[in-house]
Amino acid sequence: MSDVLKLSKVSKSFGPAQIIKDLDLKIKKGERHAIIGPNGAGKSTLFHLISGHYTPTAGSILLNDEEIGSLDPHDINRRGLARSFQVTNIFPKMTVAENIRCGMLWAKDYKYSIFKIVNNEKELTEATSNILVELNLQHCANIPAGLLSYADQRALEIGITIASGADTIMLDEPTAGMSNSETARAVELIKKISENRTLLIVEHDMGVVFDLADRISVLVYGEIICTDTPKKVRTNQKVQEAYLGTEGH
Amino acid sequence: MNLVNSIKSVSSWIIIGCIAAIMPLIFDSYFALTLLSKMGVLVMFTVAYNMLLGQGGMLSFGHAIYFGFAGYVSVHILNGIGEEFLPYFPIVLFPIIGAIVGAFLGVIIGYLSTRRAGTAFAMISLGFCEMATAFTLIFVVFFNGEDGIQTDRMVGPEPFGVSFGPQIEVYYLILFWTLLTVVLMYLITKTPFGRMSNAVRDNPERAAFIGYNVRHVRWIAFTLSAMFAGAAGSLHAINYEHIGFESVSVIQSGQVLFMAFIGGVGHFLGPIIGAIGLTYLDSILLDYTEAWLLYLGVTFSVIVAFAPGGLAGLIVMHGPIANTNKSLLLGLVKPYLSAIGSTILGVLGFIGIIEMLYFKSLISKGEGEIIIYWTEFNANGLLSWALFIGMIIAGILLSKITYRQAKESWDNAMSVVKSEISS
Amino acid sequence: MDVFLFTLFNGILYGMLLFMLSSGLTLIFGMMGVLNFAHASFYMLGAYFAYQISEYVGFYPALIIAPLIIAFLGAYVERYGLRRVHKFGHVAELLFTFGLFYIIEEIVQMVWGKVPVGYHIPPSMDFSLFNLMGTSYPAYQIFVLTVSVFIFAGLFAVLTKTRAGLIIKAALTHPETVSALGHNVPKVFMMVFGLGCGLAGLAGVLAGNTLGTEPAMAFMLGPIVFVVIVVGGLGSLKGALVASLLIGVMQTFAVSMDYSLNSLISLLGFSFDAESLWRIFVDLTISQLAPVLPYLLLVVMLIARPRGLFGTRDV
Repeated sequence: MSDVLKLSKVSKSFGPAQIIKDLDLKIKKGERHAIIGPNGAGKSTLFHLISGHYTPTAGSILLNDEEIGSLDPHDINRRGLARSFQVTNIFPKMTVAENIRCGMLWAKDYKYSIFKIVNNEKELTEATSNILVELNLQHCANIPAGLLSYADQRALEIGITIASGADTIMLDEPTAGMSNSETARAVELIKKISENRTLLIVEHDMGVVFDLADRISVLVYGEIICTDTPKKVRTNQKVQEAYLGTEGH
Repeated sequence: MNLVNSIKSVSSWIIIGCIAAIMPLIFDSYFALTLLSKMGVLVMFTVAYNMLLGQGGMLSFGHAIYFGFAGYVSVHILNGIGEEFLPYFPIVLFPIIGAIVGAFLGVIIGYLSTRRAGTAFAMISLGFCEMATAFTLIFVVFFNGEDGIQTDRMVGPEPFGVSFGPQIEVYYLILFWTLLTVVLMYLITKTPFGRMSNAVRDNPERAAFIGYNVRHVRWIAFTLSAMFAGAAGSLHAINYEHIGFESVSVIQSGQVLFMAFIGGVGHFLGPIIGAIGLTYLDSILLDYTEAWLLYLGVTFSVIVAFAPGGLAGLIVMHGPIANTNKSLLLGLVKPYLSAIGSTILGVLGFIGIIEMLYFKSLISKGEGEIIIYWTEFNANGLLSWALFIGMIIAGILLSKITYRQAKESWDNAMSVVKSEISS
Repeated sequence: MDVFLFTLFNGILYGMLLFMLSSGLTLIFGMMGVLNFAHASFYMLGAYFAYQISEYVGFYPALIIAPLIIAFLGAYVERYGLRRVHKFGHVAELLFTFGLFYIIEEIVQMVWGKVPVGYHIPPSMDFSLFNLMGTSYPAYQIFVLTVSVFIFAGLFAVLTKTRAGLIIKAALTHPETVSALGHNVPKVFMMVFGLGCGLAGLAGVLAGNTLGTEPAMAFMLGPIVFVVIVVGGLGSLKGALVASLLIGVMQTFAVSMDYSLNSLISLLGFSFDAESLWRIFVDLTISQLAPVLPYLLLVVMLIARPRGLFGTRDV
């Protein structure tokens, strides 16, 4: 299996504070890879670096063997990498269906077109309703997204992310703030959408992580101390000391 | 369902067009004709402006640049044709010239100013507007300073006997172009670009992460908006047969901002309502009051503070209620009327005071007789002041009660609507 | 040489006036994100209030009273106007102050009329302080310069030495964290807004009698102040100072220079066809171009360095 995403010697500093230190990480094609770590370990910063929100201070980030470290978010997205956000980040004034549709416009090559009416594009409408069914949001397709319940907004967040049909999906704490039943539904959704895709996920809920992930990387103070299968991570001495130990308080 | 909707929207545009077309037959005075022509031009300009402000979320204090410069170029070309050193170009197609000028300037200035939206964008747009105004006063050869340039639109052949001499012919020219461009701009809001323009307005960060270059979206919106503004500028020049530096200035830019915002930037019809309403008030009230701009500024600030959706927003707000249950809407009429009544009482008092103040400081030479509301008042007498101040106080006191009632009935109606939606 | 010195002096004076306006504006913008379109209106009110007050009690009391009234007026606007609009975002705040700009201009016209009022330099300072190589320099200008230097020394001391100043500086860089420290941020905002308006008012008191006190004065200076804070870098006081002096000196020198491209051409020993269309460009003197220079600087800045001289973020 080849590596979809390959980070080598990546560092990120804000002034004197080095948040990510010489980080190496390889994500294999088609795997579900989780990143865990205590608060402040730099998980969100890592996501921001890969998705182009931040530019790395040093090191290289390869997406399908192409350097993306210095690219803008939209350029990275166009190369087949999409992400969701930890804090819900949707278009609240637009309807749910519009949100999904906007997510797929660029990928379906509509670009900045001013010569097509969105609602008349059959293919677009069909693709949108397929995703809505997948998200189980078809009943509220025409409601402004801002009025949805929190759990539904989180689902929509994932929906916008997958709408572009990107091969590589990054989800930033998709189940944060959800009840148990909502989390269970979200995990099912994530399993469904990550078929035939590469998934990189940051998650605090260990149940979710061990349920979903093929491999887990443990990030502590900007460094990855271990990357392995869930079973082996669970028994890893270093992880227990540095991470699970502190979590147990 | 799509077909029904599109028939609906097409027919509503046709109805609007027909109403506008028969207007000059009903109001056929010269004053009414010039007013209607002006409204047409400003509707076009304001809708173009709202592509930027309402659809794209960019507040510009300099949109008159494209309007005014397109006017200057049009006037020069008209004069060139008149003096026969330029080949003939049909008057009907002049807005295309304006559009080209507007788009050209929009591409350049848009490139420089669309890196960010928000207040920084607004400040830069003001800088560009000041620069443009200064240029019109410096390059006298092209702009002719403060006098501006005269022209004559009756040049060249007269196809089908249309010379564009009579105002009525110009009105129909303006009407044609206004309808065409407004419908085009309406359709643009429905395109992938239009959607993304809204997306960038609401959440630029997310728009970037779904593959869109946020700056390019803004830049295109800016250019298109400048293009339509330029077309409107051409018509403005043809309509008045004159263009002056004030058409490029912040005054003109502020006017279009007032129209768009008071009408309501959140809805496509808002700017149209604003442009028609304010143009009408502007031409009517200028004869009656010195304080028109003061009232305009107060109205604008009140709308910003209390009804940021503008007039259209206030109407659209009731859409959900009307959709669920029409009788709920009827229940709102009474509290609304009493709230409006108490507001009007206070406003009348306020206007009376302002008018007397203006009169005393600017007009009267010791005399006291002033005509307000077709009635004679004595600005030196205590009674008139007491009357108006009394009206203000009564208005405020009544408002306190009636506003609460209006809000309560609104909340009640909305809770019914919400419960019906969720069930 | 003497002309050069005097022009430089006047340029610095104009620059200080710009800084008195732009420092308040950039402080308010940096801390609260509010761009106050009516900032120059408070400058105008300062001049008018000083005129009215000095009619009754003389110039020196007016110098103190007028800016104080303006500061309270500004705080009042923030408390009862801007704070209400705040929830709709920064663009709504800007729009609100845009409306306020119109309202103030109209009220000034209503109260004081449409023509300039006779606000003059106080007689006690209407003499020339010194003569330099045959040209005299008015005492009032020196007075204005002294006052403005003192004001900035004071402002600087407040910002660096006092507790309130530290909060202001913290709020400039990290607005969201200051409230976490337990400070009453709305109150700090109100005070800063009042202070900024007061400074603008003081500028009006000092400049109204030399530059003229008329309803259009806010409109003539306002846009230039915006240019200053963009060129200096949004939210940067140091940038505002440098940009103010730069624009002040640049414009003052430009006004006094009657050179055109044509003078350069003839200096090089060529002559230019006077009939061609290019004449309008080559005959244009630098003094004619003076009004556009700040805006040209703005454009150059946007192309070359979008974050401004001392700014930290792109505009």
